[in-house]
Amino acid sequence: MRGMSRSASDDSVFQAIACPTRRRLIDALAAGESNVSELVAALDVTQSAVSQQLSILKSAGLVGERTAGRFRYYRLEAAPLGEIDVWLNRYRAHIERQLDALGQVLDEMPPEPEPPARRAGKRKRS
Amino acid sequence: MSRVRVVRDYPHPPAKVWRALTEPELIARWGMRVEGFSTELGARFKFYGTPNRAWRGFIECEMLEARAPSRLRYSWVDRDGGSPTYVSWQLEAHAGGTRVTFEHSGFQGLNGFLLATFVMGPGHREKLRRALPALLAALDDHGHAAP
Repeated sequence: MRGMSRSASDDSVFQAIACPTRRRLIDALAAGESNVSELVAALDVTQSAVSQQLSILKSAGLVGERTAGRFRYYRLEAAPLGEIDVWLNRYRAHIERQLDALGQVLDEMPPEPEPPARRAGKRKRS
Repeated sequence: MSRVRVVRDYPHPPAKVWRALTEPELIARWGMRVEGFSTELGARFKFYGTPNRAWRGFIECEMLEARAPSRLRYSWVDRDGGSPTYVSWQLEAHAGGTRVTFEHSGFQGLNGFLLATFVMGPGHREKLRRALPALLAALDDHGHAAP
């Protein structure tokens, strides 16, 4: 059985973060829990835009909410995005491959044009 | 804040490694196509990749430090309104070659996720292997895409 309570599927996460405003919302929430008026101020967009995008993020499982007094507070639910260590390890693997490629480029580059004094006795082939 | 740091030794002198890190046509061979690259402080340049549904396909950078042949540092913004992260390259003469320390720092929020997922893309290794010859063929002598 496919657990409904599991984190959002990759696809809904992709959809959710495909929109720049939603990515800015996520960034703002990454800094801490906020209510709608704080988010409106931080992003400089209308309240209805914030509410609309928040509801999309909520349905993707990226944002949770709680009510305290007159306010509703929203927070980032990072689980669907995975742990930061996982991202960074994946990026590290990418960098390792780039540095391998850099080594290949270096091996293929001609020597530097500033030749030190040439050695008198070149090695003979044979 | 998190960072990625990788240290590598290459059997080549720092001056040569410096060229590979600062000449656009060479950068394109191990990394990404770059336009506007310059080691002048404050120079703004862009790395280009393949856009996808969650990534605009380029990275905006600003040169923050360039001391040939030992240190290079630039900012990195991979999406509109994204907060910058920072890339640095440290080169030291070591054992007849060069010790290179790559560091990418400042990850928080979505930065790492987007970078790991979209900028490099899934199956990047295969893509790189296939795309590299085509990419090189598509570049003119200055490392720009041929029209």
